[in-house]
Amino acid sequence: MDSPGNQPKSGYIGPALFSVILHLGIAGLAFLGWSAHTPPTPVIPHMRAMVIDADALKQMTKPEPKPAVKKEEPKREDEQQKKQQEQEKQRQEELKRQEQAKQETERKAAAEKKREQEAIALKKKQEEERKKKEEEKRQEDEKRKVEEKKQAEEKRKAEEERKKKEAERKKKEEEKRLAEQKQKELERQMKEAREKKRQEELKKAEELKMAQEAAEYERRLQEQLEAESTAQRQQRELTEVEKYKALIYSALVQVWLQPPGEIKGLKTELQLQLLPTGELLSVKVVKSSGNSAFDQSAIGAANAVRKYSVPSDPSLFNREFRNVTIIFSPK
Amino acid sequence: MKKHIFFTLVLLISGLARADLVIEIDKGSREAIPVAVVPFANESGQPLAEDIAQIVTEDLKRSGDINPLDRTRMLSIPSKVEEIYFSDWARQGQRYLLVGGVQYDAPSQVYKVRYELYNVQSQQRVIGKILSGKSEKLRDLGHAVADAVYEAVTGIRGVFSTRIAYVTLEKSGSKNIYKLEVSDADGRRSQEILKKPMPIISPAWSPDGKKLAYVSFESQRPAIYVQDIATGTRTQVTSYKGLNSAPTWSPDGTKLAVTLSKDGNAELYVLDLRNNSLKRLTNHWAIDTEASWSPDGRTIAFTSDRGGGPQIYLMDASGGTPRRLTFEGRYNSRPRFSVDGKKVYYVHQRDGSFNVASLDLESGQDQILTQTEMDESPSVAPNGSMIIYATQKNGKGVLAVVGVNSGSKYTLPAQFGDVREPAWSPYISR
Repeated sequence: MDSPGNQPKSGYIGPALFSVILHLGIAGLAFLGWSAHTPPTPVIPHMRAMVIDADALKQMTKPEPKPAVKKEEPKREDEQQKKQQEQEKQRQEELKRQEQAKQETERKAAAEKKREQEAIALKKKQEEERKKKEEEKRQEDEKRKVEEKKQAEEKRKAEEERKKKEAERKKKEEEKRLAEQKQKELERQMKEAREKKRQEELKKAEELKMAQEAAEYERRLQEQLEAESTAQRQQRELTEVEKYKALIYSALVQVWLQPPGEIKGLKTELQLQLLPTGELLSVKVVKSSGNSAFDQSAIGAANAVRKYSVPSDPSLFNREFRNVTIIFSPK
Repeated sequence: MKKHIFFTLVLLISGLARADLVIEIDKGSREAIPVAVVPFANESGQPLAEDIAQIVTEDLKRSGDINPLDRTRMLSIPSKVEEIYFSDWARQGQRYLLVGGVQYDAPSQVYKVRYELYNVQSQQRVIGKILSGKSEKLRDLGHAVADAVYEAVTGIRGVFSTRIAYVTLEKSGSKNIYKLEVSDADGRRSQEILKKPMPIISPAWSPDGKKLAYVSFESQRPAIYVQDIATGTRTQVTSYKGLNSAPTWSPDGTKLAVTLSKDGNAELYVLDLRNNSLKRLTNHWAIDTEASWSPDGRTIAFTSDRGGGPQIYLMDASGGTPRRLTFEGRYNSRPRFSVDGKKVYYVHQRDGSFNVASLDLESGQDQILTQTEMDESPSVAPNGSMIIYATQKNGKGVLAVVGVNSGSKYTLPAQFGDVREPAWSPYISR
């Protein structure tokens, strides 16, 4: 700030410059900061609207009052004083005129300044007005926003509530459904279990039936075996017997060293006593061929078989193979 | 009612089952039978002139029907039953085991030969005997044991105590010495029956084994003689002009079938020795010769070339129309009936070699029995199981034996230079 009374030029150039800068700054600020088109700032809860004091602003921007400006009415003195006074007067007048001119200029300047200030003030006022309006609008907006927010909140809450309720409902429904499902599952399982049990029972019954049938069959078979199929058993045993007969035959054919010469028509009958192990217990000539060498060859053959092939079935062995008749009669 | 029938059936079947199971063995192998002839224990207290068991072994081996175990393979030398480990012999595949011992009774100078034959499989004694004889009879005792063993094992009477007659030729400078000899069947202990500078051929044994008929050229032309072996007495039975050859005895010993050409051509005649009557059997321009009587005396087999070459023919012993028997090959001659009369043995020429063959009269099946080159004069052993024949070995005549059943060959050790015309004796009771 200018110091008062120093270099009038600078005395008002400074403040003017200042004011210009200030104006520019404010304008810039306005332009930058308070543009209506600023994106809405996030609403801060409990935000207090601040009213800017226009007077304070005026005070801040008011140039300091010039002392010269406050001296206006000239003093009247005697003639000499008048002459002097005249001269003085003239000079005074001149001065006055100069003063007046100066004052005029100053006035003009002041007026200009005032006008400027007024313009500024107006502008400021307008600005303030605008700002106020803006503020109001902002506040209104804010309020509306708050309201809206509130409403939105409420709506949200309501929605949430609804949703919650819905969720709860759904949950309940789900639970219900689940419960139902569970119930159903349980029922199904029970049913299945019942079915399974039923099936098992059926199976058991079936098995039992089969077992009974098998037993019955077995019994019948046994009966058959014991009764009318003696012939069959005979057949089976016959086959066995034939098998061992063939084995004994081939064993004897292998070991029988026939005596040389004409032996056709000779016939030796031996009775062999065999043990279940296939060992030979005894050999007896039942019928001699009349040719002792031929008999001996037969006896030798019967004895030469290390082990006779006999059935392992003891009853069959006892019945058929304990005593075997071997007839040696070459073709 | 049904039950009754059923039970009857069961009883019937079980009754049948109680009867022994019968298995008929209709075939076996016909190999030489393994017999172990263990060296006899010398219990005489002095060295023995003969190894009895060795004689037995060789006799049995020659038959071809028995395969004696080599002594060197014997695990033990038992002479009594209590010394026999049957299982050892059985393991060696032996069927029979002969053990024995020789004792000597000094006062009587008699040897006692004890032998026992065991069936190795049944461990039973088959035969056993004690034979006695003086020192010079030891070989006979050996052959007797062999005969007994052979018969026990084969069922065929042994021929090891029989004899053979044959003709030998000795060349002494420019002189030929023909001898008619008789020996044991193994060729040992030969004795001279006749010795002539002229050929002797076709010896034939009388059925009683006491006489030999033969052809001798001693009088510059062939004549048929009959000679008593024991006494040496000989009789000329035919001396017709021309051929007098191939005498053979009828089974009853009363007749000789001979070949004579007295009527201009070689024909068969039957000479009755009881009255010297002669009956002509054949009447053909071809040569008919080499007659052989069938064992029953009803049929005569002979050689004739009436078909263009020598072939065998059969005819009734009483005469009649001969029928040709052989057709294989261009040369078949010298027929001999088998002992059972079912076969005829003869000499058959094939690919330039002469072999002994047999022909089954029933089936017509013929079989070559020998494989040497110049086989001739087959003569059948009285048991029918062996044939002795003459063949060539190292350019000399030797005698060989072929087993009829086995086909095995055995050459008799040549005692002399040249041996021919063998004839196997009938059984001889000595």
